[in-house]
Amino acid sequence: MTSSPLSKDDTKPFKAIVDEWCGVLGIPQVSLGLAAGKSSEVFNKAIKVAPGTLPSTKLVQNIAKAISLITKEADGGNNPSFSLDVIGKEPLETVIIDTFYTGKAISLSDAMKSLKGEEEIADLVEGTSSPKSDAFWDTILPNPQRVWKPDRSPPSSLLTTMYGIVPFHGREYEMEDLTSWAEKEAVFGVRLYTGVGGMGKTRLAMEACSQLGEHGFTCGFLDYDYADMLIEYLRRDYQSEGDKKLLLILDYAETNYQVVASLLKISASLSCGHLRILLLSRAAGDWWEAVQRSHSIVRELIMEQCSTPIELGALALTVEERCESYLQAAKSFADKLGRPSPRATQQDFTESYYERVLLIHMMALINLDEQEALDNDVSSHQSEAEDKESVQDIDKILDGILFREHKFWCEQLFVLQLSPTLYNGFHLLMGIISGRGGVENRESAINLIKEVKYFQGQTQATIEAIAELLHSNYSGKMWIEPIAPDLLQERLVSVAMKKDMDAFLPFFL
Amino acid sequence: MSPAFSKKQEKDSDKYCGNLLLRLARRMDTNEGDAYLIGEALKRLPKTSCKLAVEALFKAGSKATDAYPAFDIAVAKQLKKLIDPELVLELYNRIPKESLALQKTGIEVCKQCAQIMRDRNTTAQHPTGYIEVLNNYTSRLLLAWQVKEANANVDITFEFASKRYEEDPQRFYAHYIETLQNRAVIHSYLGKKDLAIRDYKQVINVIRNHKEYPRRGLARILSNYAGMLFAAEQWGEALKTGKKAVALYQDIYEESGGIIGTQFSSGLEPWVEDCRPDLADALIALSTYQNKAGQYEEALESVTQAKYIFSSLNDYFPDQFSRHLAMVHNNYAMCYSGLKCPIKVREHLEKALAIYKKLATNHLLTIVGEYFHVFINLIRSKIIDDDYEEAAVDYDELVKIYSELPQETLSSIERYKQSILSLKYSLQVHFTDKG
Repeated sequence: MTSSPLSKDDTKPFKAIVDEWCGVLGIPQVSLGLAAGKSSEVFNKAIKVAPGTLPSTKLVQNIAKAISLITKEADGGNNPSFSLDVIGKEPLETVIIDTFYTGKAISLSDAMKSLKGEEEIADLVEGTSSPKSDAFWDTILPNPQRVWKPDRSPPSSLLTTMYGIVPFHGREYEMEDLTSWAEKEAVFGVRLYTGVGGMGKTRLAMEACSQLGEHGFTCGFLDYDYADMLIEYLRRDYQSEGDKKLLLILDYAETNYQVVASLLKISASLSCGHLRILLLSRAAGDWWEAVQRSHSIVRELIMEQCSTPIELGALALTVEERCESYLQAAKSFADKLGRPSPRATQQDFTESYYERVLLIHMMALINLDEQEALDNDVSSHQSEAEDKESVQDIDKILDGILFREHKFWCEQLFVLQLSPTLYNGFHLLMGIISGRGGVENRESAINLIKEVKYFQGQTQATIEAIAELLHSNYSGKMWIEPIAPDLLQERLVSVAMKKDMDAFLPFFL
Repeated sequence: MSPAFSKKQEKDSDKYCGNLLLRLARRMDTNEGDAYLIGEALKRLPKTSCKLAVEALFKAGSKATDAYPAFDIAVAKQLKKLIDPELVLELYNRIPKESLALQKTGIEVCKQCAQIMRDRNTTAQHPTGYIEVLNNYTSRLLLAWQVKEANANVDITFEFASKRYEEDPQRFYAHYIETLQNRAVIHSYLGKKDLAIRDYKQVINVIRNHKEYPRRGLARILSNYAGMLFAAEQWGEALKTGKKAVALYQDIYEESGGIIGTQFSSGLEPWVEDCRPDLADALIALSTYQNKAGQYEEALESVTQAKYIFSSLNDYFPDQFSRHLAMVHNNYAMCYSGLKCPIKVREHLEKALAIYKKLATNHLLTIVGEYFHVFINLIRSKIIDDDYEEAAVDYDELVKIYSELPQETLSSIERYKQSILSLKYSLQVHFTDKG
């Protein structure tokens, strides 16, 4: 058996390895890709497929996932994402797996060593392991929590659920209700929580994970990229694990309604276990109808368990409660930023939009910094179509946070000794990146930045420095994540688009 | 560039565009004024984005009735700037014609599109597109009961389409057929039954010369034609044609291998690929013709088949076919009336009315005619049963509903006015006699 070109020399540039793979496999041209085939002894061993035989598409997808895991581990968590294209129903050696790789070559054997053992890879690929390992759950339900870093984390991160800067407060009733629902004696349960952006749905679910995790639940937010692995597990293995307590959070359920429908369909057929599914969405709109229409079993299940979605109410209803939440947030931000925390506030919280707790916390952050942030040049961001006072005020708050983000970018440019004139481009650049849903890898980031107005004609070194800067500030599942929280992200996208449509829209063609 | 690479690029472009539109759609939560950004994005991005935009609104968690006004604003603003009419039309074609919120704008969009094409002299360059715009305009006018305007427009369309058909039958036959059908519908609305029947006959003749015309389209035409014949009191012909329509639908369904459109991932209305709803509708109509011909048992059999289809579809698409089920109950009542089973008549009318009452909350304009028809028949059946007390209660309710109807619905129930007056008369006579 031919040895894998990847295992020969882990110092080679990735391109050279790809060329070598092409030679071995007799594939004429791969622009950017990783070919998996008969040459890979690891995969042959793991999937027990004889060279030249026809694998199922499902099997190839699982191989791709295994590759993703290997590269993720070996690359220090840089997490290259990938897509898979099966070119026809060809034997395994002509299957091409495109990956957006960071450019660093790795050896498969080293990658294997960095994992817990070869068996685990085999289990993952074959999907037969029972009970599932921690690696399996870490992949499917990755921990969304992040650590706030004073030198790297942008101001917006102080407001982001996954950093959990402001301690969870209020919602005692909701938490109690949620935990008792989860603990109830029943094989399966599903709930849908709805609420406009900034109400605290994700935070509530994160807290539920944290509390129920201490009571024997395996819980977390589903990574939709691995939904089919989860579905396969529920179908084949879950019931053999006795009463394993499992809480799955499906955030943005509305954008993944097919997955929701499939999971509910399988869950409805469980006869043992202890599975809870928590769906989070802004509204139970047409997508919810579509889920119910997907199958009569699903409809019956929903009718029985959550015919009325739970609309998450305001965390702080009265002005006093809002002031309390404000002061708590202000104290948390002050602690992180090394500033004195306010003891009282004069802020007027009578507006109904303060039902969105995120806006209260945004005000805390804005006021903590400087009142001038609000009075600054945010008026230029206002839409000509805005005519409602309250609407203007929400966007004013969002603009106040965006203003802080801009200041942060300026400071970063200064540290890197880059020209302050580039500052203007960050607004547009982060708007584009956020609008696209993030950037998958370093190479794509560099290619994108080069094309953005204000950065055109900059040296390669400058472009790379900017890419690295954004990566270090906004890293996550994507190489550069969109700005968060969502409300801020949506405002940034809208502002960047309004400001210069000709410079913005070509990136979506 | 390898095919795999270009395929991936295309996929990425769709993904980025979809992500952008999703974020803009989500902004509706915070600032509806940003709806115009969706319009701007659609104007400058590829045409496929229209589909992505509708999906984005879907994914943003909205209900169609909430989200579409955003399009309304966006498109109305764009119209002022004389944007690409085909793009606007494509967008509007993805929006349900029944959407009341957009009815006026939809009509305006089509009118402007046709005008822009004429002003820019692009009708000769894009003749099929022009006919599509005109036909779309006609059907939107009809849905809004603007029959006079629809009639004027269909004349313009017919003149244009028939000339093109004469010049190049192979290219234009489908457009010509659609125009003829529209004209037939308008003629029937105007009470010109003979002209409507003439148009339908012509449609069927054209189809005879173009065997490639989709059979499902032919089945639909036969079904409509049967309805027209029935309205023209040609009972025997209506029954014959109605049977042909049902037989054709049954063939199509059997040949499709019994495909059931339940994969909603294929679109927002997956059942459109499934011909069973059309078959069931044709069965309901057939039961009406059979009933008229005194074939009550056959009529009962037809409506039972229709009920079976709609009930099984209802498992997959709850509430989607409620209106059709109401029609089923109405026809059951008709059959039992012929079979002299008054209890069953009343039972089914009650069932139909319950459905219509539920539907009236959100779809009053669409169902108002049927709603009144069933309500009036139920009151009549109660009067026949000598149940005057209940009939009077129902009558009061009916009058109350009538008095609260929005102005735009009145034209569609004009024909029931006389029936309501007749009910009033019957009740007055009874209660006067009783003192």
